[in-house]
Amino acid sequence: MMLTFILRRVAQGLLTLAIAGTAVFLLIRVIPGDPAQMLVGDVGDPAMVAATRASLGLDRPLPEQWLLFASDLANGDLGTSIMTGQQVREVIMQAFPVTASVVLLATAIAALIGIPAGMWAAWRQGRAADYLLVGITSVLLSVPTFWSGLIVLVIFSVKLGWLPALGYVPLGEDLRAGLIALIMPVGVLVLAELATLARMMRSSTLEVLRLDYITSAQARGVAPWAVLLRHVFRNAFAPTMTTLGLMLGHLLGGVVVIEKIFGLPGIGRLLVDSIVQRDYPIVQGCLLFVAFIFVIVNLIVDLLYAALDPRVRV
Amino acid sequence: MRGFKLGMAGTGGALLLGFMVLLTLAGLVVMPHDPIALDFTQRLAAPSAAHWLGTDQFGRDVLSRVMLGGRGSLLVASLTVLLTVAIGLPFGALVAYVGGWFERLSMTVLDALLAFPSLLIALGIMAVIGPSTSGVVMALTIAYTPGVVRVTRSVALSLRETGFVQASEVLGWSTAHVVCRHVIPNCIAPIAVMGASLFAAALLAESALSFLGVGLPPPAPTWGGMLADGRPFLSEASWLSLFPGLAIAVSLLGCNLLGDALRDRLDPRMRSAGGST
Repeated sequence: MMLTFILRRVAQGLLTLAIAGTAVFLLIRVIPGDPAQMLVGDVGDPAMVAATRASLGLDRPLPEQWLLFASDLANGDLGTSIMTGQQVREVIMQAFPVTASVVLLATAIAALIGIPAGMWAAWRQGRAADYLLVGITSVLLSVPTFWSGLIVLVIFSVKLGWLPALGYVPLGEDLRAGLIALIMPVGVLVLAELATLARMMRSSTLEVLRLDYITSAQARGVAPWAVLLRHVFRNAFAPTMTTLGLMLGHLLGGVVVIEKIFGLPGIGRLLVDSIVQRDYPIVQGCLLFVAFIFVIVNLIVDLLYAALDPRVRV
Repeated sequence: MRGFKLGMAGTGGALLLGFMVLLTLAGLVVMPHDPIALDFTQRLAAPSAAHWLGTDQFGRDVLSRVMLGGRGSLLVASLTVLLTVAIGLPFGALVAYVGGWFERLSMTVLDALLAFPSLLIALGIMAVIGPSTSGVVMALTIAYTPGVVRVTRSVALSLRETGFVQASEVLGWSTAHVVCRHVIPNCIAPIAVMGASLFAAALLAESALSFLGVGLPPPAPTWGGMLADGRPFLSEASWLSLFPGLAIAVSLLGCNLLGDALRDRLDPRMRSAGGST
């Protein structure tokens, strides 16, 4: 039964990818607005626009373009950058580790703090600790990362001079300098994600706490920490894990601003810079790549969920 | 509707959001200074009695610009919510009601669209249509509509099983009548809750797009754009970025508190679970 479940989820993931890919394909070609015109600029004469359109392959009929796009994609070929002529795949592969290290580190730290905090608040529902958590998370959820990022930057690098304002050092090159460069961007992301996770964990813990088996465990005199750890956690964590998966995907969007503020050469900055430079193959490649990562992450989460909670394996 | 109490947090939220909206609306009538006119004698002046929130690198009054900037930001967020709901609500009800292959196809496509972080969809769309107000609204509407369709569909699906909907089917009313008279009105409460969080999301996304320089076009200031413009002057004039950011944060906080309170009020299931997510 688990095998059918896995196969069906993988097939679903592939279908999602195919549709998402087609959506990106259509985005560049069907939405009002002409990439070729944007590329040449307002001054360009019609002949130049037509030539650009031909070089991008945008003059061919849509179905033919789609076939070409799909077969290139199936071969892992994302095209070449208009500006630099580099392979889009290589450019993305250079940028992705930066984004991945920021996002994974931030998510791990946010989960380690947010999940116990959410469980604790639910346990103390209606008391001071609960109100404190709900209050703090409300504020955290309302602070845009691009604002908290700037504030952190002003305090720690401009005023106090403790941390470097810009510059990224690959972790593999110099672990210490690399980690120092990540402190601010990761910290800002942690604050934002922590709130989401803590609230999710709080509400799913509340749901579980109302169930009979918890009351019975408490009646048997099981210590509170043991109730939370052994009985509540497993059932309350499953929905939070789904949130965690969705969050990882959406962080790939949220991290755009962070990368821009702290000058990290990740996927987000690559995407924004390419939009400004009208480098459409890179824009297209980045969007496709993010969708790919999102599908993979959610596939893993779904499978983990099934492993954790056999009821969903139907 | 029953007596409507929002509780302390909800009332606080409504007040915060109301304050920002009023501040913006007041700007339509009167502003302390001209938000566009340059005055180089007043470059980067710190907050003072004459300029409560200081001035920017061109000597323009930051308070006046925050008031003007709210127009674009709040307008884009409102339009986005209206459009998303206007498209998503009927479509979600339709999908649930027609069912069959139409439902399966629609949901597969929408789920695939949800595979993109909404900010990235919006960025991608802005890349093609270029910075413009209608462009931002369109981009955000495309990014958020799938979510509204999803919520409406799940509410409508559960409504389809209820007695009063089945009764009106038995009475021989057309599907269109049942959907318009019974299904859609009953979707409004959960959609109102979603609307509050959509408004916050749209406001945040618009600010992020403007911050990244692909949102609303200059010269009209937006909160996100002002934040970005203040960046080079962070060390000497931090108020340039501080106040527009505060405007965004206060609006978002108001919106989130209001949304949580609405959810606790309108969604009995959530109330019994003891609060908001």
